[in-house]
Amino acid sequence: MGKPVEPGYSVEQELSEIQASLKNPREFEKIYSRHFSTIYAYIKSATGDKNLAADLCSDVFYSALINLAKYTTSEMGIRPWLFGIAINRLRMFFRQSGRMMYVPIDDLKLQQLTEEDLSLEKKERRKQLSAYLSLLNEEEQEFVQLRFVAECSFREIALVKGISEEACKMRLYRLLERMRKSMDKDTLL
Amino acid sequence: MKEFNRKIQVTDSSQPDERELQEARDFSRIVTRLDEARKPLPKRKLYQSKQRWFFLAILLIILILLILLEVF
Repeated sequence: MGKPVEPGYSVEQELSEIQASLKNPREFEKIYSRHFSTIYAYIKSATGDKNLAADLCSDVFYSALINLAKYTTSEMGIRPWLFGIAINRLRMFFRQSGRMMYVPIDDLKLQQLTEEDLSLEKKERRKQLSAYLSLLNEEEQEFVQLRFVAECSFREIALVKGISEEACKMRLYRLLERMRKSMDKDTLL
Repeated sequence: MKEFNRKIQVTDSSQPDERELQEARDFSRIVTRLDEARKPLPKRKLYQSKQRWFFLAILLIILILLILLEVF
Protein backbone atom coordinates (compact mmCIF):
# COMPACT_ATOMS: atom_id res chain seq x y z
CA MET A 1 0.00 0.00 0.00
CA GLY A 2 1.22 3.47 -0.82
CA LYS A 3 1.07 6.52 1.38
CA PRO A 4 -2.54 7.62 1.88
CA VAL A 5 -3.66 10.69 -0.06
CA GLU A 6 -6.22 11.17 2.70
CA PRO A 7 -7.41 8.79 5.45
CA GLY A 8 -8.61 5.55 3.88
CA TYR A 9 -7.29 6.43 0.45
CA SER A 10 -4.06 5.52 -1.32
CA VAL A 11 -2.06 6.95 -4.21
CA GLU A 12 -2.56 3.64 -6.06
CA GLN A 13 -6.33 3.95 -5.81
CA GLU A 14 -6.15 7.49 -7.09
CA LEU A 15 -3.88 6.41 -9.92
CA SER A 16 -6.37 3.78 -11.04
CA GLU A 17 -9.09 6.47 -11.03
CA ILE A 18 -6.87 8.67 -13.19
CA GLN A 19 -6.34 5.80 -15.65
CA ALA A 20 -10.10 5.24 -15.76
CA SER A 21 -10.70 8.99 -16.30
CA LEU A 22 -8.35 8.97 -19.28
CA LYS A 23 -10.55 6.33 -20.89
CA ASN A 24 -13.85 7.80 -19.75
CA PRO A 25 -13.90 11.47 -18.60
CA ARG A 26 -17.04 10.84 -16.53
CA GLU A 27 -14.91 8.75 -14.17
CA PHE A 28 -13.13 11.95 -13.20
CA GLU A 29 -16.09 12.77 -10.95
CA LYS A 30 -14.59 10.69 -8.12
CA ILE A 31 -11.42 12.79 -8.12
CA TYR A 32 -13.50 15.95 -8.53
CA SER A 33 -15.72 15.12 -5.54
CA ARG A 34 -12.78 14.31 -3.31
CA HIS A 35 -10.78 17.47 -4.01
CA PHE A 36 -13.50 19.99 -4.84
CA SER A 37 -13.96 21.44 -1.34
CA THR A 38 -10.21 22.04 -0.84
CA ILE A 39 -9.69 23.77 -4.20
CA TYR A 40 -12.96 25.71 -3.92
CA ALA A 41 -12.11 26.93 -0.40
CA TYR A 42 -8.69 28.04 -1.61
CA ILE A 43 -10.08 29.99 -4.58
CA LYS A 44 -12.94 31.43 -2.50
CA SER A 45 -10.50 32.62 0.15
CA ALA A 46 -8.47 34.48 -2.48
CA THR A 47 -11.39 36.03 -4.38
CA GLY A 48 -13.92 36.46 -1.56
CA ASP A 49 -16.73 35.80 -4.04
CA LYS A 50 -18.59 32.48 -4.07
CA ASN A 51 -19.99 32.71 -7.63
CA LEU A 52 -16.64 33.70 -9.04
CA ALA A 53 -14.96 30.94 -7.02
CA ALA A 54 -17.39 28.37 -8.45
CA ASP A 55 -16.57 29.53 -12.01
CA LEU A 56 -12.81 29.54 -11.47
CA CYS A 57 -12.97 26.18 -9.70
CA SER A 58 -14.83 24.76 -12.69
CA ASP A 59 -12.06 26.12 -14.95
CA VAL A 60 -9.43 24.43 -12.77
CA PHE A 61 -11.06 21.00 -12.90
CA TYR A 62 -11.82 21.32 -16.61
CA SER A 63 -8.20 22.20 -17.25
CA ALA A 64 -7.10 19.26 -15.07
CA LEU A 65 -9.35 16.89 -17.00
CA ILE A 66 -8.15 17.91 -20.46
CA ASN A 67 -4.51 17.84 -19.33
CA LEU A 68 -4.79 14.65 -17.30
CA ALA A 69 -2.47 12.75 -19.65
CA LYS A 70 0.32 15.18 -18.67
CA TYR A 71 -0.01 14.42 -14.96
CA THR A 72 3.02 12.72 -13.49
CA THR A 73 2.46 10.62 -10.39
CA SER A 74 3.70 11.95 -7.08
CA GLU A 75 3.75 10.38 -3.63
CA MET A 76 1.34 13.11 -2.44
CA GLY A 77 -1.32 12.27 -5.01
CA ILE A 78 -3.04 14.65 -7.41
CA ARG A 79 -3.73 17.44 -4.86
CA PRO A 80 -0.47 19.43 -5.38
CA TRP A 81 -1.00 19.26 -9.15
CA LEU A 82 -4.53 20.64 -8.75
CA PHE A 83 -3.20 23.41 -6.51
CA GLY A 84 -0.66 24.25 -9.22
CA ILE A 85 -3.45 24.64 -11.79
CA ALA A 86 -5.51 26.72 -9.33
CA ILE A 87 -2.55 29.02 -8.67
CA ASN A 88 -2.01 29.60 -12.39
CA ARG A 89 -5.71 30.28 -12.92
CA LEU A 90 -5.79 32.74 -10.03
CA ARG A 91 -2.62 34.43 -11.24
CA MET A 92 -4.24 34.94 -14.65
CA PHE A 93 -7.47 36.18 -13.07
CA PHE A 94 -5.79 38.76 -10.83
CA ARG A 95 -3.59 40.00 -13.68
CA GLN A 96 -6.59 40.50 -15.96
CA SER A 97 -8.98 41.97 -13.41
CA GLY A 98 -6.53 43.92 -11.25
CA ARG A 99 -8.70 43.02 -8.27
CA MET A 100 -7.51 42.77 -4.70
CA MET A 101 -6.55 39.34 -3.39
CA TYR A 102 -7.84 38.30 0.03
CA VAL A 103 -5.71 36.36 2.48
CA PRO A 104 -7.85 35.09 5.37
CA ILE A 105 -5.65 34.54 8.39
CA ASP A 106 -7.00 33.33 11.73
CA ASP A 107 -5.82 34.77 15.05
CA LEU A 108 -3.33 31.98 15.76
CA LYS A 109 -1.61 32.27 12.39
CA LEU A 110 -1.70 36.04 12.64
CA GLN A 111 0.26 35.66 15.86
CA GLN A 112 2.76 33.34 14.12
CA LEU A 113 3.20 35.73 11.23
CA THR A 114 3.47 38.98 13.14
CA GLU A 115 4.73 37.62 16.49
CA GLU A 116 3.13 38.63 19.75
CA ASP A 117 2.84 42.39 19.77
CA LEU A 118 0.47 43.68 22.41
CA SER A 119 0.90 47.27 21.34
CA LEU A 120 -1.11 46.62 18.19
CA GLU A 121 -4.74 45.67 17.82
CA LYS A 122 -5.58 42.63 15.68
CA LYS A 123 -7.22 44.87 13.12
CA GLU A 124 -4.12 47.05 12.98
CA ARG A 125 -1.86 44.00 12.65
CA ARG A 126 -3.97 42.68 9.77
CA LYS A 127 -3.68 46.07 8.08
CA GLN A 128 0.08 46.10 8.54
CA LEU A 129 0.36 42.54 7.24
CA SER A 130 -1.79 43.43 4.20
CA ALA A 131 0.55 46.29 3.38
CA TYR A 132 3.58 44.08 3.74
CA LEU A 133 2.16 41.19 1.70
CA SER A 134 1.24 43.63 -1.09
CA LEU A 135 4.93 44.43 -1.45
CA LEU A 136 5.88 40.79 -2.06
CA ASN A 137 6.04 39.34 -5.54
CA GLU A 138 3.37 36.94 -6.79
CA GLU A 139 5.38 33.84 -5.99
CA GLU A 140 6.13 34.92 -2.42
CA GLN A 141 2.45 35.75 -1.88
CA GLU A 142 1.57 32.28 -3.16
CA PHE A 143 4.01 30.69 -0.69
CA VAL A 144 2.26 32.49 2.19
CA GLN A 145 -1.16 31.58 0.84
CA LEU A 146 -0.37 27.90 0.36
CA ARG A 147 1.20 27.57 3.79
CA PHE A 148 -1.08 29.73 5.94
CA VAL A 149 -4.42 29.69 4.11
CA ALA A 150 -4.53 26.32 2.32
CA GLU A 151 -2.44 24.75 5.10
CA CYS A 152 -0.36 22.73 2.65
CA SER A 153 2.63 20.79 3.93
CA PHE A 154 6.16 21.80 2.88
CA ARG A 155 6.31 18.69 0.69
CA GLU A 156 3.11 19.70 -1.08
CA ILE A 157 4.25 23.30 -1.63
CA ALA A 158 7.55 21.97 -2.94
CA LEU A 159 5.67 19.80 -5.46
CA VAL A 160 3.42 22.69 -6.50
CA LYS A 161 6.41 24.97 -7.04
CA GLY A 162 8.67 22.31 -8.51
CA ILE A 163 11.46 22.79 -5.95
CA SER A 164 12.95 20.58 -3.22
CA GLU A 165 11.38 20.41 0.23
CA GLU A 166 14.50 21.93 1.81
CA ALA A 167 14.51 24.82 -0.65
CA CYS A 168 10.84 25.39 0.10
CA LYS A 169 11.42 25.48 3.90
CA MET A 170 14.37 27.83 3.43
CA ARG A 171 12.43 30.23 1.20
CA LEU A 172 9.50 30.41 3.58
CA TYR A 173 11.78 30.81 6.60
CA ARG A 174 13.68 33.69 4.95
CA LEU A 175 10.46 35.28 3.80
CA LEU A 176 8.97 35.23 7.30
CA GLU A 177 12.20 36.54 8.82
CA ARG A 178 12.26 39.41 6.36
CA MET A 179 8.63 40.13 7.05
CA ARG A 180 9.01 40.14 10.85
CA LYS A 181 12.06 42.40 10.69
CA SER A 182 10.29 44.81 8.41
CA MET A 183 7.20 44.87 10.62
CA ASP A 184 9.30 45.43 13.75
CA LYS A 185 10.96 48.39 12.06
CA ASP A 186 7.56 49.83 11.20
CA THR A 187 6.34 49.41 14.77
CA LEU A 188 9.37 51.24 16.16
CA LEU A 189 8.88 54.22 13.88
CA MET B 1 8.88 39.47 -17.53
CA LYS B 2 6.90 42.43 -16.23
CA GLU B 3 6.57 42.42 -12.45
CA PHE B 4 2.95 42.46 -11.37
CA ASN B 5 2.01 44.00 -8.05
CA ARG B 6 -0.96 42.25 -6.53
CA LYS B 7 -2.83 44.12 -3.80
CA ILE B 8 -3.51 42.04 -0.71
CA GLN B 9 -6.05 42.39 2.05
CA VAL B 10 -5.64 40.21 5.11
CA THR B 11 -9.06 39.30 6.49
CA ASP B 12 -10.56 37.12 9.21
CA SER B 13 -10.50 33.42 8.46
CA SER B 14 -13.73 31.90 7.16
CA GLN B 15 -14.43 28.50 5.66
CA PRO B 16 -17.27 27.77 3.21
CA ASP B 17 -20.08 25.79 4.86
CA GLU B 18 -21.51 22.51 3.53
CA ARG B 19 -24.47 24.26 1.87
CA GLU B 20 -22.23 26.63 -0.06
CA LEU B 21 -20.06 23.70 -1.19
CA GLN B 22 -23.14 21.78 -2.32
CA GLU B 23 -24.32 24.77 -4.37
CA ALA B 24 -20.93 25.30 -6.00
CA ARG B 25 -20.20 21.61 -6.71
CA ASP B 26 -21.39 20.78 -10.22
CA PHE B 27 -19.51 18.17 -12.21
CA SER B 28 -22.07 18.25 -15.05
CA ARG B 29 -20.73 21.74 -15.95
CA ILE B 30 -17.34 20.25 -16.72
CA VAL B 31 -18.79 17.35 -18.70
CA THR B 32 -20.97 19.72 -20.74
CA ARG B 33 -17.98 21.92 -21.49
CA LEU B 34 -15.94 18.90 -22.53
CA ASP B 35 -18.73 17.63 -24.79
CA GLU B 36 -19.04 21.09 -26.38
CA ALA B 37 -15.30 21.20 -27.01
CA ARG B 38 -15.36 17.74 -28.60
CA LYS B 39 -18.32 18.48 -30.84
CA PRO B 40 -17.17 18.76 -34.48
CA LEU B 41 -17.43 22.25 -35.91
CA PRO B 42 -20.43 22.70 -38.23
CA LYS B 43 -19.52 22.55 -41.91
CA ARG B 44 -19.49 25.95 -43.51
CA LYS B 45 -22.30 26.41 -45.97
CA LEU B 46 -20.90 27.58 -49.26
CA TYR B 47 -23.36 30.30 -50.09
CA GLN B 48 -23.74 31.95 -46.72
CA SER B 49 -24.60 35.61 -46.06
CA LYS B 50 -22.02 37.93 -47.63
CA GLN B 51 -20.41 35.17 -49.63
CA ARG B 52 -23.76 34.35 -51.23
CA TRP B 53 -24.30 37.90 -52.47
CA PHE B 54 -20.77 38.10 -53.78
CA PHE B 55 -21.22 34.83 -55.68
CA LEU B 56 -24.54 35.98 -57.16
CA ALA B 57 -22.99 39.29 -58.28
CA ILE B 58 -20.21 37.47 -60.11
CA LEU B 59 -22.77 35.19 -61.81
CA LEU B 60 -24.75 38.22 -62.91
CA ILE B 61 -21.65 39.91 -64.36
CA ILE B 62 -20.76 36.73 -66.27
CA LEU B 63 -24.32 36.53 -67.58
CA ILE B 64 -24.28 40.17 -68.75
CA LEU B 65 -20.89 39.59 -70.44
CA LEU B 66 -22.25 36.52 -72.25
CA ILE B 67 -25.30 38.47 -73.44
CA LEU B 68 -23.09 41.31 -74.62
CA LEU B 69 -20.82 38.88 -76.47
CA GLU B 70 -23.87 37.33 -78.10
CA VAL B 71 -25.21 40.74 -79.19
CA PHE B 72 -21.98 42.07 -80.64
